[in-house]
Amino acid sequence: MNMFNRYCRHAALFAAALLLAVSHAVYADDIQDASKLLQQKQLSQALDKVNGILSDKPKDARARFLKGLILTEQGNAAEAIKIFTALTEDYPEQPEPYNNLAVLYAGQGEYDKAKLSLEMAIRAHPSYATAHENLGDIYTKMASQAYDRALQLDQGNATTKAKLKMIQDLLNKLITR
Amino acid sequence: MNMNNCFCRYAAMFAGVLLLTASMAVRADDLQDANKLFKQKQYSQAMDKVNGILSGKPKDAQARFLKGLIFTEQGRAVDAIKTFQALTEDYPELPEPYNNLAVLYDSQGQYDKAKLALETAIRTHPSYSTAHENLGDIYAKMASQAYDRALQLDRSNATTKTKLAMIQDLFSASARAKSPASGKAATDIAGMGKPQTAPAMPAPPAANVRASAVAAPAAKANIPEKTVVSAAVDNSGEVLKTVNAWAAAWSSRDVKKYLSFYAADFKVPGGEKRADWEAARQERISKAQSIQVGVSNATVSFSDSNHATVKFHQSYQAKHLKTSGNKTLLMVKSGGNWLIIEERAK
Repeated sequence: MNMFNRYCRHAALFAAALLLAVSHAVYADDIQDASKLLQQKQLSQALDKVNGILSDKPKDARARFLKGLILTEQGNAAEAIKIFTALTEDYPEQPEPYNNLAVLYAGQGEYDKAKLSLEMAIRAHPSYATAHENLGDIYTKMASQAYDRALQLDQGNATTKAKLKMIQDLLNKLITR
Repeated sequence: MNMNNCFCRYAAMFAGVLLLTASMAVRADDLQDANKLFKQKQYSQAMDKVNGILSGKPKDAQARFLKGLIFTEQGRAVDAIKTFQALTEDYPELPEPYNNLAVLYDSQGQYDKAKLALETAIRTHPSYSTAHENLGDIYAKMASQAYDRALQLDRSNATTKTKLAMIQDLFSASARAKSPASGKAATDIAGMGKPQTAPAMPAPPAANVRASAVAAPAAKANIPEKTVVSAAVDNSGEVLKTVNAWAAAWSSRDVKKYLSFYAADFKVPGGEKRADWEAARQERISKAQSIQVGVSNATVSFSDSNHATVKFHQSYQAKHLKTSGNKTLLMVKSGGNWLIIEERAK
């Protein structure tokens, strides 16, 4: 679960979210513009656009979702978490907001919360492959933490050392990918 | 977290528990004899000895602990779990029974329970490094399961494939790296045994502990039969339970439940589309007025801990149709559940 991957996932989710939409050409245009701005990394313009939509339709799911993505890209994890949390409350049957929440929690090292969010995503949508993969990443990180603690307590343990090294290689691989 | 490691751990714990008491030479002798028999793998004799001690002192912690170890070695996981469970209730401040419980749950694939037990051990003893390491193993297995599931849902994902391969390497490599580490653990045990030498626990048992701990890795490297056998024994129960539940769902014409036993990548007979197959099953099962599916003479074999082949005799009785024949189900363990990936009828 790394930044690059995350970006891809967000993009994919966003595309999926767009598929759901049908109504209002103007509104659809605005959303599309905001999405384009996000992809071009013009984050503050994207945010303005989305806020414009939300001033008319404060409960609009897609605009809120997009806002969550923009805030994530801006590094404003706390606000992004608020938005995705609210989306999970309004749409508990949608797995994507849970998944994105998990990515944000993981970014803050809150693996237990990330795990819970992913479990909710999987409960909502058992065949959601991304959530299963992200859950795997969370467990990998938790394993790394546990081995690290074991090694701190027993520095000479070669087995633990070997395990920790292998799992860190795995994590490095995820980041460079 | 494999049997070899646990064995060392058990030994370590056993020595540890012995340190706690120093009374009664007779009982100490009995316990020592039982321990020796256990190390010599004479489990039924060891059990008789332990039961003898327990008939005099039914609450004796060390004897119960040893009994738990004997059950474990005998492959009687359920009884071993009961024994260690009771010890955690009587001695919640001791981390070892929790750790052993976790090892047992792990061998049954009950990772959530294993995790909980280890977390409890760590709560009482934050510096108990074995529990931390075991917890790492549990998380790595859970990661492996999650990647496996992701890959079943999205076969083409190369990243997931890499991750799964790497995490699986971790287990094979840690198994290989085991022997020097266990040797080290055994030395620690010998060191642990020393301070209390004379009265209760003279040197020989410690030497035994070391010897068996060193011997174990070799057995593990050459024939991992112990791990495999216990996995097979424990998991075949799970697999059979699933097959029976599948037959029950079919018999009760609960189509939704029946279909839930099939993996996302179930090999649909005749290369039909999954949706078409499901629709056909739905129609056929829901239209029948009564169905009785019986499973008998089932045998389970494992190609690895996550893949099983179940062969059985299936009887099928509907209102106008009565058939029977041999059936083979290929099953994969995914997310803690066994799912059907292929169904063959002969």
